[in-house]
Amino acid sequence: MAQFLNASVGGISLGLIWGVLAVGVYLTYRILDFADLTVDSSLATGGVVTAVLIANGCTPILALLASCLAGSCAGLITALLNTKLKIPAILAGILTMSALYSINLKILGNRANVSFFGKPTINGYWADLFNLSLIDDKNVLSIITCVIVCSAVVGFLYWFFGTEFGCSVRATGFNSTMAKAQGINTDLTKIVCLMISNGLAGLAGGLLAQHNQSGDVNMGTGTIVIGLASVILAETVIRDRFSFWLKLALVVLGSVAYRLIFTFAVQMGMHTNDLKLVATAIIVIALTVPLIKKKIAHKKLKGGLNNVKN
Amino acid sequence: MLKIENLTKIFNVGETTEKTALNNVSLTLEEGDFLTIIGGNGAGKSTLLNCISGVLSVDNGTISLDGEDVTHLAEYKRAKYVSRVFQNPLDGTAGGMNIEENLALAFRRGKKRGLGWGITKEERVLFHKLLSETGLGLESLMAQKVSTLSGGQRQSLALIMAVLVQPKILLLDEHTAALDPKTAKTVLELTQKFTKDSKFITIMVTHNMNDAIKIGNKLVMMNQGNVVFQASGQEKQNLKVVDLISKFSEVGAELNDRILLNS
Ligand SMILES: Nc1ncnc2c1ncn2[C@@H]1O[C@H](COP(=O)(O)OP(=O)(O)OP(=O)(O)O)[C@@H](O)[C@H]1O
Ligand SMILES: [Mg+2]
Repeated sequence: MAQFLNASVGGISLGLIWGVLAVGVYLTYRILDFADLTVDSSLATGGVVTAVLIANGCTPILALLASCLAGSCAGLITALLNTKLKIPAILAGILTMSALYSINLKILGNRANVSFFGKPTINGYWADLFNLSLIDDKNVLSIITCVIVCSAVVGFLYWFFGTEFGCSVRATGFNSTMAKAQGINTDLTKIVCLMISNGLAGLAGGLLAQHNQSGDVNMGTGTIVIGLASVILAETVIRDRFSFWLKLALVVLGSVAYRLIFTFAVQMGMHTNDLKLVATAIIVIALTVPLIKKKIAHKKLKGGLNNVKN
Repeated sequence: MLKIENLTKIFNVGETTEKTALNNVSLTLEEGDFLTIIGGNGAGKSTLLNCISGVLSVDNGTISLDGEDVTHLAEYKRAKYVSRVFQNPLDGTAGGMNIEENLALAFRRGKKRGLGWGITKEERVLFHKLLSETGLGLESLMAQKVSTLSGGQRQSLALIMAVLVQPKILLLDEHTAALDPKTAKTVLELTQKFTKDSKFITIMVTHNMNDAIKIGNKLVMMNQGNVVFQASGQEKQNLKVVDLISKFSEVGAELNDRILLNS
């Protein structure tokens, strides 16, 4: 039981880190309606930037900001490929993703990973502040960091999407024909949204690197599946009438739920190699539940009608 | 003043499917003019409107507005002067946003969109007042998603949005064609109400020849990318549907059922 609880705390801390990424994925897939695959690499870019910076003595917060910025640059490239060179969204994302792999290796100095054990991390602040152990309470420290970061991200986005520019990003996603007819520069709205989304992916990568105290060129593999799974899990409870900040918060919780399902599966004796299978299963189940619900509702309705007839 | 000179638009240049959709079209409209355009399928009516709004680039010719050459001005920049209502009621509004948010977007047409609030309290009050004046009952649905509205309500909203900020040109491309006859009538009446005594130019494409004669002060008939007949003022008011039909057959235009049934 204690072991399970411990594992759950680990799951929650990872879930919150990846929650930042999930919010980014939500912005592109659901708000801008742009299938962006860049995040697979921009998350790793964020991770390796933080790793290299901290290893070279940079302060942890500055490293996180740099990760965020590096991620946005990746988003900018995908956006430019799509809007200016008219390359389809998915292909633009794949191209950037593939190019970033080489760039990430270059950032790492042609190594596959860089560790910075013993160097200060953002979690170290709380360790000092609350007298916790950097090693034993690692997950708790991460949770403190991520709750702050996620709140800041949700707050920022809630404000941003209420502004004139934020509204024009939403309009672009809902109906780009209308957006252009209303004088919205849809190229610009796409560029900005992709930069924010990938900036969040970079930030998540930075947080993950600080959590692991290392950055790895492969740390982003499968990111998009994780992000989508979190969004889809969240959407099983998100309702249209919910306030935007609540939707975003639920997306973060979707990511936590996703991790906890994993934790549970592993505790039940599943091999970590099979995790991808579970990921796919989660997505498929989450996507089919609404369909099944509809079928059941339909059957009930039909049954009701038959009863009336009889 | 809208001045269109020798406008030519060719699709798929150099391919076997090459098609001249506009062939040296020239047209001049003055402030307050209301032009109706009729013509068979593929006559080039939508293409002309899409060139004016900047959706399509032109192959030859110029479009100028009050002396400014806007031929190559980007679509979203031209939106400052040109507003539109589309044939499909789903195209003109953002279904996932509510009525007041849609209005707030239209309220900023032609202005910079920065980091100020996307909609303000004063605007809500203003929109409520404006919607009440149209008598469609939309003011009680301000916070409702546009996707929950009927086609007619959506098209009325699109029309309100198009004139919320005075354009220089209002383009209506068969904006009542997708509606049932009764709703179409309501939207057409709203159109007349908004354009009556207006300072801007209105161009309306329609398949209904009665409407084309009755509404507006100018009329052009198009066929195969050419303007084949023009009328204005009293001459236009005196036209009869039979006159137009004989004009159509004079130029050998194929009249589709839609035009005949609508007339
Ligand atoms: N994007 C396009 N690519 C190729 N050809 C096109 C394109 N758009 C229009 N055309 C062709 O140009 C011609 C004029 O089309 P347009 O849409 O302007 O006709 P229209 O007068 O609006 O007809 P309708 O009454 O059917 O709406 C047609 O032959 C059409 O097939
Ligand atoms: Mg047309």
